[in-house]
Amino acid sequence: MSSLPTPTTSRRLAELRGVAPFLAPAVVLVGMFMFYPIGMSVWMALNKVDQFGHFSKFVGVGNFTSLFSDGDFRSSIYRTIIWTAAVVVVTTLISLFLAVVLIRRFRFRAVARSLLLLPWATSLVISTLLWQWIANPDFGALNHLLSSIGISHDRIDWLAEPSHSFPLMIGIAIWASIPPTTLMLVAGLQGIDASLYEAGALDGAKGWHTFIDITVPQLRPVLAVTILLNVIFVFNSFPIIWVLTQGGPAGQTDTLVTYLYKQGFQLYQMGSAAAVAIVIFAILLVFSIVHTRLSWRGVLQEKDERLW
Amino acid sequence: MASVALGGVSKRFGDTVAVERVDLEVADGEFLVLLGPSGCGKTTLLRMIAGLEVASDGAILIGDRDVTRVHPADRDVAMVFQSYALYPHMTVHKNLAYGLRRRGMPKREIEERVAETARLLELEPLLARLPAQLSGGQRQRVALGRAIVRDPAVFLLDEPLSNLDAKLRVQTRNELIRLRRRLAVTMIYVTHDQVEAMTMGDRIVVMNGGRVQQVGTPLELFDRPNNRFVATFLGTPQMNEIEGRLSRASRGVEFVAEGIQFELPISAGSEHPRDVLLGIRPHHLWAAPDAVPGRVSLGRGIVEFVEHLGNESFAYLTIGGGQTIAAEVEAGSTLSVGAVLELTTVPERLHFFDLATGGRLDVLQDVGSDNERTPVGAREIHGEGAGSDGDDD
Amino acid sequence: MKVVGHKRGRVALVCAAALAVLATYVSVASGAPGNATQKRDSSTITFLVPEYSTKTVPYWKDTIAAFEKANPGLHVTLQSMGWQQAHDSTAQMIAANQLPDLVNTATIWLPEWVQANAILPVTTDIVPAAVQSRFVPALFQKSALYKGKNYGLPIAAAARGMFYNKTLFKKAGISKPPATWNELLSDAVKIKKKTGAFGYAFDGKGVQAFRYFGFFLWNNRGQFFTSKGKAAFNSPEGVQALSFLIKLTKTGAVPNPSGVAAEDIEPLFLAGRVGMWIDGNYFATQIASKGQGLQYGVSPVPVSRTGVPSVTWGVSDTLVIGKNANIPVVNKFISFIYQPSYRTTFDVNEGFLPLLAAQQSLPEFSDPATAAFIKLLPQSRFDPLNPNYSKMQTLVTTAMQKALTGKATPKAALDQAAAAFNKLAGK
Repeated sequence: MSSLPTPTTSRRLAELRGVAPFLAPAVVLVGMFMFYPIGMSVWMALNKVDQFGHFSKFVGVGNFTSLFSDGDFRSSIYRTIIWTAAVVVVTTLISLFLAVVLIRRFRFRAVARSLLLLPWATSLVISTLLWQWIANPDFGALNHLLSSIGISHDRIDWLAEPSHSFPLMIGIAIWASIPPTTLMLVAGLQGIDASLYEAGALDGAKGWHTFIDITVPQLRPVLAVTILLNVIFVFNSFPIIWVLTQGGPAGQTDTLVTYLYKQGFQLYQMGSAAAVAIVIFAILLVFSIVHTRLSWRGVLQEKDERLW
Repeated sequence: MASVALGGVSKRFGDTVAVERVDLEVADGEFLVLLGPSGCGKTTLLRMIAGLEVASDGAILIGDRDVTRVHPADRDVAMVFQSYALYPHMTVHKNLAYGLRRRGMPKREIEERVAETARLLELEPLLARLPAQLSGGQRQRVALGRAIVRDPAVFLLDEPLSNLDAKLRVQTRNELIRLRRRLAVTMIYVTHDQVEAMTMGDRIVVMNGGRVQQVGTPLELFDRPNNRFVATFLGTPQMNEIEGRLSRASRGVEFVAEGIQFELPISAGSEHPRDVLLGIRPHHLWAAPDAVPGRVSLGRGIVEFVEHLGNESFAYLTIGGGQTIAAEVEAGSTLSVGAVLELTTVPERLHFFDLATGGRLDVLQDVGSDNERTPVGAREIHGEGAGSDGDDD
Repeated sequence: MKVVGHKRGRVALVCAAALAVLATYVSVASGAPGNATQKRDSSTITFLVPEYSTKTVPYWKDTIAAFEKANPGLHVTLQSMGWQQAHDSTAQMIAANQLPDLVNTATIWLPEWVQANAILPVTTDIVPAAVQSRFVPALFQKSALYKGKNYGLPIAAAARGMFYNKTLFKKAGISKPPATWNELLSDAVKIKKKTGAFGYAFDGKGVQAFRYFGFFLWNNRGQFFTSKGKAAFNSPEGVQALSFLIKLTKTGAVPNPSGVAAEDIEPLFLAGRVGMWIDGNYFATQIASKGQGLQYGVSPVPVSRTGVPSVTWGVSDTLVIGKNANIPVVNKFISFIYQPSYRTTFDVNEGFLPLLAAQQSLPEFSDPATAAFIKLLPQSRFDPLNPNYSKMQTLVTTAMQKALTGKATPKAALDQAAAAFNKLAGK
C-alpha cells in the first residue's frame, strides 16, 4: 500500500480501464485496416516480392536506391507535382467562381447546379473513355470542333504526343474535379454568416472587396480542406492517365501512381511498387503537415482558441 | 448627422406583409426606439433604413436625399447587429478600421480615429485580439466602436443588448445613454425590451403586425396608450383589463362589469351606453383592508398570492366576476392568501378602450389628466384596425 | 485490489481477443495455406472464363445448363471477368489459394501458373484419350507445352495475317500485297500519296504493341528469348525490325503509333482509312458485321527480304486445371464441352478457327477469309512460353515507344529493355 500511485495517475488509470472495452474495437479496426497494411507495405518495400506475394529476399533500401537511380521515376515525381499543382490550382479557382455564382438566386439555378454535377454522375473510368473518343484523331469531336471553328484542320493526335496528351489529361482531371470541389465550396459559402456580408455592405464593401475581405477569409477552412483532399485525390489519380495513355509513350506521361502500377502489376516488382507507395505516402504526409500548418494557422483561433 | 424620414414604407415577402405603410420622421440627433414583440416588423423597418432590404413601396430619406434604392455602402449609415457580426478573421483594430479603409480614408486619419474610438470605448488593450478572444460585453463594445468610428449620419442598432447578461445589459445601457449624449447623433434603436425603450428613447415607436401602433415619448405612451396593444405591451406587471359597459348615470357615467360597479363624476358623451374595456395598471390600483376615502372603489378581492419585488409588492386578487387582477399593496406587507381587500383607484388613471376596435376612448378628458397636450403621435395614429382614419390631418 | 485485478483481467481478455482477430487477418491476408481451404463439394466445380465478347458469358451459361441437364446432380459455377483483369485476378486467386477448378487463360501465362504450382498437367484421368484424339494434333501438342509437359487444352485458336484494303490498293495502282519490307514501305507510301488514307498502321500503345514489333522480329529470323529464357529481342535482327518500323513511321504513311492501340486502328481500317493492318482472323468477323462491304484480302506478314521464311503468329488460349480440381467432374465437363457442336457455336460466336479435326470440314469455316487463315496455320508460331513473358511485353513496348519518340536509338532502347529483362528475370 505504500507504493500507491498519486491520486491523479490512479484516477487516469481507472478511467482507462473503464473505457478500454469501448476503445478496443476501434483500436483493433484501426490496427487491422491502417497500421497492419502500412507496416506490411514498409516491410514489402524492404524486400524482393513477386506477384504472388512471396517474399524472396530482404534487400534493405535496395528498392529505393534503384528507384531513385531510374530517370523515369525521378521525372514521374516531377510530373506528378506539375499534374497535381495544375489540376488543384485551376480546379480551385474555377470552382470558387462557380460556387459564388451558384449560391446566388437566379433563374435556372437548379438546372445549372444539376448540369454542374453531371461529370460526377458516371464513374471516372467511363467518362475518361468518353474523353478518349472525343480526343480520337480521326473520329473524335475535339478535332472536328477545332476544324469546324477554323482553328486547326490538322489531324491532331491528342494522345500520341505527351505535349498534347498531358495538358489534355490535366484538363480532364480539372473537369472531373470541379463538381465535388464546387459542391464543397457551395456548402462552405452557405455556412458563412450572412450578417457579415451585411456588416460589410454597411462598411462600404462592394463586389470584389466583399469577396476578398469576407468570402475568402471565411471560406478559408473549407478551402483548406478542399485543397488538401484534392491534392491527395489528384496526386493518386489513376483512371484518367491509365485509360488515355497508360503513362506512355515510354513513360513520358507517367505519374507516380501509374509508375507504381507498372512496377507492381506489369513488371511484378511488388517490393519496388511498395517502395513507390512509401515515397507517395511520404510526399503526401509532408505536404499535409506543411499545408495544415500554413492554412490552419489562426483559423481555429477564429473559432475558439480553447481548441488548441 | 441627419434626419430620417419614411413615407408610406412597406415590405412584403411574397404574400407576407412584414411592414405596412409606415410614415415616420426622425429628427436630427434624435434617439428613436422601435419597440414591439418579435415579428412585428421593427427589424425589417430598420434593415430597410440600412439598405439591407429594399422597400416594396414608399420612400426613405436620409437628410434630404432619397436613399430608397441606394446601396447600403452609400447611405452613410452604420449599424450594430444583434449578433455583432464582427469579422472573425480580423483583429479588433482591423474590425474598427475596415469601414474607413473601404472609404479610402488616409492611413494616418484611420489610425487617429481608431485610437480615439478605442479610447472612448476602452478598447485599447484589446486592439490586437480576434473577436473569438473577447467576452460578450467586449464584442458588443467593438461592434459599437465599428459604428462610432465611421461617424455616420445615422446610427442603427438592432437589439444590441439582447445577447448580454442582465447585469451587463444595464451597465451597457447606461454607457450607451452616456455615449449618445456625447455623440449627439441620430440613432434608431430596435428592441423588444420596454425597459430599454423607456429609459433610452427620446421617442418610442410601438409596432405590431407590421404597423405603427403609436409614436410618442415614453411617458406619453405610458400614460395615454393609444390602444389596447400599446397599453398592455408597456408596463410591468401588465395592465389589468376588465370588460364592462359604460353608461349614463345620475352623477356622470357608470361602469358596470360582473361584480364591479362604480360611477365617475364626468359629463357623459353622446355614445353611451357602450361596451368597453377598462384598463388599470397595477401601479394605479391599490388593495388595502379598508377603502381609502375619495378614491373610486372597484369592490373587494380575495388574495390569491403576493409578489414581492423589493421596493414594491403586488397582490393578485380574484374579484367578483372570477377574474384575477393585480394591484399594488403596501411594500413588504404580510398578507395571507384568502385575505379580503378593498380595491381602489383614482379616475384619472383609468383607461377605456373600445371593446370592438381596441382604440382609446377619451372618456376622462374632463377629469383633468396630467397630459396637457395631446401627443402628436396619438393624434396621427389610431388604434389597431383604425389606422386609416388618422390620415386626414 | 481484488476489484482492480478483476478489471485488469477483463482488459487482458479484450486484448487477447483483439490479437486473435488480428492474427486471423494476418494469416488470411498473407495467403497462408491451410487457412483458406475451400469447402469441397464433390458434385460442384468452378469455371473461370474471360469475356471474349458479349456472347461469351451467355454461351457458357447455355452450355453449362446443357451439361447440368445431361449430368443430373453435377453443378458448374461460372465466374467471369474482363480480359484486362484476367491476369491479375488469376494471380490474386492463386495467391489466396482459391483458383477455380477450370480456368480459361492466356497461354502465355502458363509458365507463371506452373511456377506458382497452381495448375495440373493434362493426364488421361482428366482428359480421356478419346477426347484428346478429337483435336487437330498440332494445336493439342504444341500450344500448351511447357518444360516437356502439356499444361492444358486449347480452348480458342486463331492465326494472324495482314488484312489489306483492295479498294485502296486499286486506287494506288498496287496489284498484289507486299511480300517484303521494302515493298511494304513503298506500297504504304503510295497509298498515302494516292488516296490520302494511311498505308499501314500498327499498335504502339496498347497491350498488343509488342506483337507489332514481334511480327517484324520473327519475319527477320529473330527471337524474343534465347533457349535459356534470356532476352534475345535486342539482337541485330530485332534492331533491324525496330529501325524499319521507325523508318516506316517517319514516312507519314502510318498514324502515330504512340497514339493508337489496336482498338483505335480497327475502326479506322473498317472505315477504309488504312491500307494494311495485321490482325487475327477474328477481325474478319468484325469486317463482316461492320465493314459495310469493305473489299479486303488476307496475306502473310511481309518478310525482311526474299528467302526469309514467313511466320504467322498463332493465337491460342488454354483451359487449365487448378491443382485442387475436382477431377471426376472436370473430366465429365471437358468431355462434354469438347464436342464439335458446342465448339463450333463458340468458334463462330467469337470468330476463332476450329480446334477439332471434325470441325474443319463444316460449312461454318468455308468462307474465303477463314479458309485463308486455316491455310496459314501450318506456318504459325505460338507465343513463346516464358515465366517472365508479361515483363517482356511491358519492356519491349516501352522500348518501342522510346525509339519511336526519338528518346533513344532502336539499339539503345532494346539493349536497355533486354538488360532490365535479364535483371528482373534473374538471368
